[in-house]
Amino acid sequence: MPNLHDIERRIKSVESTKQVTHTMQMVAAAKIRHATERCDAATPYANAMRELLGNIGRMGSCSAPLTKEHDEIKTTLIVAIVSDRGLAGGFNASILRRAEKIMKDRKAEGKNVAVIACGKKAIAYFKYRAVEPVLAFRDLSADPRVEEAETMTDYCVDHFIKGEIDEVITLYNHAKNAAEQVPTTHRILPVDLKSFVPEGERFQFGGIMEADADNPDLPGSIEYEPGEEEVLTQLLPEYLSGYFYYVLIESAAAEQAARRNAMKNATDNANEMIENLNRVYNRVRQGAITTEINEIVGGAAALED
Amino acid sequence: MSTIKCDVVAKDKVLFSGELHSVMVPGTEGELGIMANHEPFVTALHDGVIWARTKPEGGTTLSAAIMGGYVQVLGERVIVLCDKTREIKRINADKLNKEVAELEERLENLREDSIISRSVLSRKLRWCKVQLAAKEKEDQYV
Repeated sequence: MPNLHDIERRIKSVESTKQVTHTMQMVAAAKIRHATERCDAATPYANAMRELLGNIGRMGSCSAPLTKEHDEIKTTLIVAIVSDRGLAGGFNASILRRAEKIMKDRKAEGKNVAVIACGKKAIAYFKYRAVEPVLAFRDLSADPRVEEAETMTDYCVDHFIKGEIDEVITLYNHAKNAAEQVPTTHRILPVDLKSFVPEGERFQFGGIMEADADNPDLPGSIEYEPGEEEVLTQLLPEYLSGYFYYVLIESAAAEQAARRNAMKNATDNANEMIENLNRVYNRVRQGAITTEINEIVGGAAALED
Repeated sequence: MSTIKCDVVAKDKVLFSGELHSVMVPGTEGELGIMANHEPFVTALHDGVIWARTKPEGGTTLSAAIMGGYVQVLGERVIVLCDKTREIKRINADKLNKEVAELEERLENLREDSIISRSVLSRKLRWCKVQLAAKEKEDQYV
């Protein structure tokens, strides 16, 4: 039988943990709003860019270097986007585990893997496994900046064109809604222009470009100035940095949401634990009282005889 | 009078969204005016000034410095995408001059191996210079 004093101490300790987790839950909830607003502000750019590339994607094949598959995939660059801090449930682990799985698969095929790590947790994870990230960003997971995305883009574009990397895969948490984060894997380079064309579109790749009378929203052919390739060569890095920025802020929003959920669960668990401990405490106390009464009654009975 | 539906969006904000009579943008092949019924068209933009009107004469509603932009025209719809943009009237030249000096100094003293800071700083510097150039020509865009 545990003694009363021990139980009392445990109750106190669980209560103070609960206070911490509850506070973190409230803080995360407040930050979600800020992060979501930032996502909303960046959405028009992302949409406009998709629309623009979708129109180009309809033109069929295109010869800009960033859209070209390399003959052989020798080096894969993994961009793992996680957080600087833990205490957010499986937020970091699910991404990092996926990253490691991809690394293992690629290495088994005899290919090289390079890593860009965003967030202290990713840096620590890869360093521990003796993988030196080619680029590492820290202290930015809560407030990603456009500059960070641009640096990543510069690196990717530069090395992709030189042929030092052959594909780029991003791993991040997509903030589906406030309650759900979906770990997402996206092959971002080489760029697949056709993926921007809305699904179910009737236009065929390969150059049918007349305007459609039934569907006036679909455009006729588009003029490029100075030329299609030149425009794309400049536009695609722009798309990439927009994409990276969007992914970073989405991951930041997902992180806060994940942390709030994790902390809500922790608080709920603490409440449950306190309830159970209180029950045990009362039972033990009652047990002690019953024993004492029994002893007194027993003693009195012995005297009467 | 026919109008165009124009959106000017930067990576982190929407600068303008609405109906315009015409918009002038600094195309790579030269200054470029877009009005209703322009042919479908995509081009990159130079760093410079974007300038829009709601009426044929006067009525400038928007004049802003932009960096790293693109424009797409499809029917009545015009999308201007850019890295950075700021309305000219919000540009503070004194503050920018100080920032330019500071950035140049930091770039000067940067270690060789800090690739990240170098590209970040030089982009910032470029943006400051674009804004300053736009501010200087402010009077032209009224």
